[in-house]
Amino acid sequence: MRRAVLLLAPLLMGAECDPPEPTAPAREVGIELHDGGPQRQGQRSQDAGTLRWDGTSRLHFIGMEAPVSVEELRVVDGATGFPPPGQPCVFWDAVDPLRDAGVKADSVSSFSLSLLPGEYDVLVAPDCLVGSFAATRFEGESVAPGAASYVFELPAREPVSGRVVTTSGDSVEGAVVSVFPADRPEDPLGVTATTGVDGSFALQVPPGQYTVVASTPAGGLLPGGGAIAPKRLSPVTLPLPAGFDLLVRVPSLPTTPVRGALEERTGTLTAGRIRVEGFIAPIPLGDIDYEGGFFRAEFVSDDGTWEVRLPPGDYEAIAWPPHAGGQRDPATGLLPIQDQDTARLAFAVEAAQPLEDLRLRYTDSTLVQVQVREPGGGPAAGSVSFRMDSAPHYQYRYPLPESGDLSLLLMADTYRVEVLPAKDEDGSKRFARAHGTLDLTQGPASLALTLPPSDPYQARVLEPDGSGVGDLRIVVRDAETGEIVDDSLTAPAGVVGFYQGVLPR
Amino acid sequence: MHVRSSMSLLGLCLSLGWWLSGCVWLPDWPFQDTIVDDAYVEDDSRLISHCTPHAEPLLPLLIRRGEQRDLSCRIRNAQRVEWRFLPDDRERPILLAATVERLELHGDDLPWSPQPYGGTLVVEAISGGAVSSFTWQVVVAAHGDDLSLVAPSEEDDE
Repeated sequence: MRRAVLLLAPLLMGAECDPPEPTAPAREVGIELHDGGPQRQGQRSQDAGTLRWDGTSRLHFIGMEAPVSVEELRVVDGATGFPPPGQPCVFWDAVDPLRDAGVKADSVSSFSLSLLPGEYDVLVAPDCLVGSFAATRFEGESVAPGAASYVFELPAREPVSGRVVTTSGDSVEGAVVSVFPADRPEDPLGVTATTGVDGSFALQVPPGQYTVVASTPAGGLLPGGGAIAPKRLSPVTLPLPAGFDLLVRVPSLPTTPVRGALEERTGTLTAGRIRVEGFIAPIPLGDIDYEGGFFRAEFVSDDGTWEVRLPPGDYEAIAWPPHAGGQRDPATGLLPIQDQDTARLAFAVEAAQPLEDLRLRYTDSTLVQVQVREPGGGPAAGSVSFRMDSAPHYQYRYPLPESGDLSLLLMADTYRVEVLPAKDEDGSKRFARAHGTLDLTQGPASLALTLPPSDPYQARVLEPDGSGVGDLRIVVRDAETGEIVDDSLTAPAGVVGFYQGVLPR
Repeated sequence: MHVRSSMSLLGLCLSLGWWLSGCVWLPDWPFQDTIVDDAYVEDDSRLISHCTPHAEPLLPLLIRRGEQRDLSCRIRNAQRVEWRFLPDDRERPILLAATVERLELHGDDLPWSPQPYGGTLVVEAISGGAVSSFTWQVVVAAHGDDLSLVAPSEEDDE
């Protein structure tokens, strides 16, 4: 038998051994594999690196990395040796965001998780960052193939007590005291406290250096209607020596009521979200000079009126109109357009001079025209998505009319535009996606895009053991720009793991 | 000795075949390196599938101020798609995007608060009477520099 195979092998390899002639230019693309969801813990979404397509009709293969099943994951309070109360969250951060994972303990404090091999920074948050139990960061945790076991022991915490008072010594009730690691302000510690009637607060942190910030709550007002200028102390070594309290003195600034309205473009009062931010003016305060600072408050107006108390300074109020939405008009079948734009109002506050009737009115949005053509010049079919580059980063997608010309209204901003070509009637794809940018900051603008001449290719995604992976979403990105050029699904049956895609020239 | 020679030769042939993959096919080979003649047409009736990152209450998503996270689903044949975020302490959700398959979620666009807070992000697709949705539990965390423009403290208040 072996002799027969040996004799046949050269024949089987025989005349077909010349590599296929390229029919198109070779090129490289980036491949992302997206698994079917949490029920598919045996696979994980992952960056599959680069596919080098040789321009031939040969079937190409993409290897998938097997995840590691975490068999033991425990969080232990170093002070007690027992699990902390509640349901801890554990956030795994990798360099590749597709590998990131967050997991929360269930009611019996057990975790279920699969991770791709690699290095992770792990943030362990006993109360998911929304309580007062300090989170701890564990850097450089290695996840290697094979069953994995992790026990994260949280450092012992020390009590810290303190008070927030004004510079004149009055207690501040309702101030929010937030604590961050002094050297990693981006890392949430998840420790906040709200001061009581006497301005006191209590929290627990592991010994270390911290930034402590005392501020008003998100709405900008204390429970009694007053406001304080935020105060930041950094670095502060905590805990303090036994018997000492942390005293945070916030400038006792005069505040002035500012009242306004939020209106639709037509002048009708409307509910909405308002953000007020600006700089508090420097002012002398008795024996010290307050050098000014940044103030931010955000609140929701339910009836179109709003009020906030602000220290003297220069501010801007911003309201974003609601997103136009995605529901088609039943009468016209058309998607709504964004006919309102951001409302902005700059104003100055002076001591003891209340401001009344500040009107935030949404403005007109801006006309945009997009023309999409096939490589031959004919109108393209499909849809076009628009992504704002600035806040609120609204994102829209509109179908292309038969003419390939799309006119609509958008908020003034720069946009990344993506054309998603329609498939042919038989379900096959002819073109990869096209991309462009649109600048509406200077007024109405137009954009002409042509779908790229594209070549079909076939590939198959394989598990490490060589079996195909079905029902996997393949996202193909331009190797240089990172833009998505194609999107496919692997076959769940037949030649499992097989898919057909297109690559732009 | 004879057997070892034959096995080596067999291994050589197989290695050669592997090296020349694309032009050889042997029965029971791990995979078939040939073109699939019948065009495979994606036959998928699901409204929403393949949502990344994994989404369920026990798989929370952390987003910090100043950070962007891409949330993506495969959405097909939907007449309406909406991405909505609802902070835990509010009643009305914020509509972030419509009709798109991929949401670029920016921490700075979410309601600001000096305290970390939880929320729910939902993508919902509707087609006729069919509704399909995916939900992420999101934790929004403040950045320690959010108020860093405050005048630095001259006196240590400890």
